[in-house]
Amino acid sequence: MSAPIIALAAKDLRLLARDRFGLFWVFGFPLILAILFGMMFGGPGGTGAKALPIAVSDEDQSRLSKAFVKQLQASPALEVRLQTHAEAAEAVRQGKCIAYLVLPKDFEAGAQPFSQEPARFELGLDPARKPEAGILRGALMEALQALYQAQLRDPKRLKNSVDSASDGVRWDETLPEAERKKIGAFLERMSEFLGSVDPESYKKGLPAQTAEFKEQAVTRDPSFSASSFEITFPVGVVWGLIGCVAAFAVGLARERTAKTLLRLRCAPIGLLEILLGKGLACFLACAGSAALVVAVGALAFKVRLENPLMLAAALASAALCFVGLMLGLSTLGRTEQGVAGSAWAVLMVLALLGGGMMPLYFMPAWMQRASQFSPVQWALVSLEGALWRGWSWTEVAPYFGGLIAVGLAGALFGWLVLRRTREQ
Amino acid sequence: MIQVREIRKTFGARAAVDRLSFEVRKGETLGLLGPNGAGKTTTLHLLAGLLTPDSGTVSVAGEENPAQAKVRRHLGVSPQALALYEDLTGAENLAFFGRLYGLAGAKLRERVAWGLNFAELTERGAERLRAYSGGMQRRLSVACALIHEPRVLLLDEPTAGVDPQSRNHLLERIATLKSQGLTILFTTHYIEEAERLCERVAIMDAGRILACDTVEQLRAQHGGSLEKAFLDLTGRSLRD
Repeated sequence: MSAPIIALAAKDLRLLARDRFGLFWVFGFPLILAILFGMMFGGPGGTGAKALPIAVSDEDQSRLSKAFVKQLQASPALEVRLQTHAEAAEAVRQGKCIAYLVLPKDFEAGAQPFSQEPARFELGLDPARKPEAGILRGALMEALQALYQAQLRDPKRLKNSVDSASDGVRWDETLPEAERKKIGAFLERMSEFLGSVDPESYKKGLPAQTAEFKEQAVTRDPSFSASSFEITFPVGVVWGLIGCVAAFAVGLARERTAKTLLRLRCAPIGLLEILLGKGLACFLACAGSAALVVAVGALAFKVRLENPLMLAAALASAALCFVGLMLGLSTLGRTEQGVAGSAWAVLMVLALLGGGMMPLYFMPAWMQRASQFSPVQWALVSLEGALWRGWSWTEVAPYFGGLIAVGLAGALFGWLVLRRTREQ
Repeated sequence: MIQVREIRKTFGARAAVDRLSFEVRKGETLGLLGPNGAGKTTTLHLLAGLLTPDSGTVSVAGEENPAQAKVRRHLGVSPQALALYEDLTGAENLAFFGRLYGLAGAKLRERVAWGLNFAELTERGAERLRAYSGGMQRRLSVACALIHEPRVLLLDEPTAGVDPQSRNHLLERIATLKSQGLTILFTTHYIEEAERLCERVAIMDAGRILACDTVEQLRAQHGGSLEKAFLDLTGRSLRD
């Protein structure tokens, strides 16, 4: 590499080192983001999900309503706050809880097995927290299922439910006479059985009521479980790359407005060398930022480096991609403000589409499809593939290729624009 | 050392330089004198290879294309703007531009020390440019153009916006360079600078050279004053 290119890169890195704001975006922000989001999502060994705060008002105060509240409190997905109906609604309105749940006075009647009426709730949802509503409904159904199971395993209480149901059927005139007799006979026999059976033997002999899920992280190592930091540190690396692009993209416009570009062009170097010098500086800053984030992740937050060689290749490919983007974006305006605005606009769209700002599964289907074309997503997938997904070289190769191709295209675009505008 | 033949450069419909011809001999100092918009800076940019003429030829140090690296090694250019890095120190600016011209090691250190001395900034070479006055920055800007010991120096209004002390300092230093045999072409608004430094002066307006002669000849032709020659040739109407 020629001495002028190295001199240009060293100069740009020195200027970056003296720009505290730029340094923050390159080195500080990615680390803060990775650590903060890692802790928010549960820290080491975390499940990646925070318990959803809900306000519960038990107006029934029955045995079953109290048992149901206990089931809710035992759920790791929920953070239950017991309140009155009015307090609960206010908590949701103020955004302190994502929903409120009211167990009405007749809750127990519907919560019993063989009840002819369903268990009724009043569920008030915060309209801003719709994505979590599905998780909440799942947790409620899980608690209700557990409540039923507990009753099915208690023959004495189950007998009471069956007797009650039997009375109901006996007087239900909507059923044909013959059917009422059949169902009534079945329930009477069941009641006799439940009244005579030994409770302990009954529990042992009762078949399992629900499915049991054996959960396993799908990686090459079946015992592996990714901590939330192993999810957020690759995102931190990508934000470091984005910070580098933002910091260096304005460099060329700054050279233009300060007329230093004119002095550079008087030197015995070509436009290509000027771009390469800027690209080298950006690449080294990208590498430094990524190395810092990965090192802090590995040393302080136990982020595993499953394939260091592949990780180095992933970082190099991602850095090349973002350097190319920087070179392309740096020529999109003639002033620092123009370039900074264009660069952030493009980078925000790429980050949003690529899952750098919110999980992809929160996005509409069309955005998820579009994300397949975002280099941010390719970079994230490549980094995760090398860090903990246990991907092979064949699996990561298309992503590496895509990142390098985007980088080369960006650099070529920048060079062509710079050549075209050199006399302006 | 510099030969310009019938060059023309247009921007849109406007001809910034129109069939311009002149030459600067080795060791000579030629002043391009002209009002705002006369085409002085465009001429300098054409000589530095920053612009390509629409027609005509420019030859510097015997080579026809000044954009070539081998020609640029012989050219020192001090632009009208300061064109320096405010967040680098004076010494770092000099060293950076020196490296672009292939200087390294002891030679680079020697030239950086020379540049700081040239700009009278030896004591403040480790300070960032933000702390420098306009005059200090202008002196450093000229020193940066000389860091690689060029054979031809192009100065675009080198004393613009500086105090009388810095201007005097710069003019003394340029005179020293001239006495050492450096070929110098500089543009200026200041008639006294042209009188003080130049063997010959070219008076330009509207992209053309209206007169090019020795200071003595121009004075003789226009009532004993270069200023009168300038106003006679370019007129008295305001240009801004």
